Amino acid sequence: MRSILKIFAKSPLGPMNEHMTKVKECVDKIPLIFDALYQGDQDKVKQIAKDIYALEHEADVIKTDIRDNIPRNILLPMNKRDFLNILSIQDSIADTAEDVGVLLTIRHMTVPEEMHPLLDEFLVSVMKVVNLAMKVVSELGVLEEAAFGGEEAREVLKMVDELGVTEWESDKRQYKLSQKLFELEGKESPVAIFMWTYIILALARIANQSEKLGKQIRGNLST
Amino acid sequence: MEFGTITIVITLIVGAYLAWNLGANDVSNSMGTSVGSGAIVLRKAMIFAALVDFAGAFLIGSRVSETVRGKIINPESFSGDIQIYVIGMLAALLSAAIWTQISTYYGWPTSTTHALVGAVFSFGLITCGIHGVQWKVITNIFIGWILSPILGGLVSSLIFLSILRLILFAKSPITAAKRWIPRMIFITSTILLLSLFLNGLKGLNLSLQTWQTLIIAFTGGVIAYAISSNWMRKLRYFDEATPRSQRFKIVEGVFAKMQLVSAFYVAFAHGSNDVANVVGPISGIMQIAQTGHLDPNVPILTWVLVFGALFMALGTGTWGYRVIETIGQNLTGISPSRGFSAEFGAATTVLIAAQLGLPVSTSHTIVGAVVGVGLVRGMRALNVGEIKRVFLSWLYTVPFSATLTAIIFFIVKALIR
Repeated sequence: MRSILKIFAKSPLGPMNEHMTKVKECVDKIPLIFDALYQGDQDKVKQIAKDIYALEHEADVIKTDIRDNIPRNILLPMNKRDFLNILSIQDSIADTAEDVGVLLTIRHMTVPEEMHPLLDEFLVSVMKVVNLAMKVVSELGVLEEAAFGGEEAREVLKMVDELGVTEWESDKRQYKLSQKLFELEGKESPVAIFMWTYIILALARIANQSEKLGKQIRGNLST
Repeated sequence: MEFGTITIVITLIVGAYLAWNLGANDVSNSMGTSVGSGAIVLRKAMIFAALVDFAGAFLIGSRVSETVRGKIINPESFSGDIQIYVIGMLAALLSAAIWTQISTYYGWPTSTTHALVGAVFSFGLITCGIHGVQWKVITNIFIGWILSPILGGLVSSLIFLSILRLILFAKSPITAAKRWIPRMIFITSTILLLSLFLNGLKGLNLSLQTWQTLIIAFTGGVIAYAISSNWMRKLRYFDEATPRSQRFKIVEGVFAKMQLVSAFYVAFAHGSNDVANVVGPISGIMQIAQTGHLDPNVPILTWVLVFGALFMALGTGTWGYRVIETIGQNLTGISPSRGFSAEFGAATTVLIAAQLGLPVSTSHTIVGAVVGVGLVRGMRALNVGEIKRVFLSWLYTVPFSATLTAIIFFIVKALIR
């Protein structure tokens, strides 16, 4: 049948939201895995790590699906390359969450008592950054309605600013936590310290990537 | 007359078929988005679209029909052997009908207007050479083909930009909508009425002077303003009581109603411009059957106009549903504010072209309008590849149609003589 309605392509924003939800499920497991770690329940730690791994894979599938199915010549209200970038960054957050799971299971880790409170604070701050970033991503649909401009764009811009501040707060917590970690030099085994460094870096990477997500979206707003 | 009843019967059958196809295939261009977004139920859409399509064809359709009938070819060149004109027009109709069928089968987004104008141009050229064609008219039509999508895009993007800046960008979109929508409706209604009554309503033999048109348009605009003001006053939603994302949904709900009107406006414009593809050739043939010669200044026979309009409306009302059902399911649904902008811009362009007697491609104009809105970040996702395919389709439509017409012409001439 002859119809010009084929000029309308399927918007990738819907699947993007699906991907975001999957990534969020991934990252939400992080507090749970550390809870299990505090309790010393190594089996539970392994189980949650497996869950994260499965969820990360599901996110990957969605991401590949989006990439494969987006027409080469699509006209979006934002730059297509920027859109795919957002997808990439979002996906890397899930990847890093998986990394955390791996790090906590390749070696039996225990949380040094002195580190516990600062680790908690750091975790909370990282989750804050992620959640805020997810909130920004969830605004994409509304932003699209407002053609990425106007008052809605200004509101999102404020959110991105807040995201930057929150990430900076998380950076400070990371610093304090790392300081505490190296105070334990001598008390804890060098390997443990080595591993905890990596774990802290991975958690910090989650916060960084989340901020990057917000910055990428910010680049597409016009106010 | 050497040609007899058979020729007339064949002409009417082919014409009816072509008209029906025009209705069925093009209805999705006007009603597709509204049905897809759920603004109107399929059944109702078909019935009203058919009525409005008919109205456009009947009230305004004769202008472009006159152009197709006697202004593309040069009637003087045919005064020696008028039967050649009849054979030529029949060949053009057949060629356009065949082309439409092929395009429908393969799903190519081609324009019947392009095919038919190319066909008429072709037989004018091959029968009477350079003088068989009115080059000034052909040039104007060609310019119209280039300008209509551009103009459609311009008007549409302007409408959308004002919606964007005045309403969607505002701190309180619902309040902004209540304030600005009646004003927008005033302006768009006035423009609509101006386009509608620009040259009077030829179908009703109603001719209007400029001042009369202005008064009708302005009065209509004021009435529309009053109605919409009242409607906005009754809208029981407020920014303070609604979360931000919901506010846009409410505003879009208002535009959904407006988009319905603009969809019918497109159907009307389509009727006014596209019915000529059928009525032009047939009325020329009928005039010769009755009077023996072709007079381009005689108005189009009313019954021919009704004939064409009727079959087009039938096509819209019957087979159109199958087209829309398939389309509607695949459509992600464009926001009503965007749909309204694109449809209004396209319809106004096509209607004005119709008033000027210029045959333009309704589909190309609509695509131009959609692209216009898309370029100002209005469209969710557009397939640029398909857009290029639509715009370039006339490059193979016109040559193919011209060649096919020539072939059919020589066959029919051989058969009749």
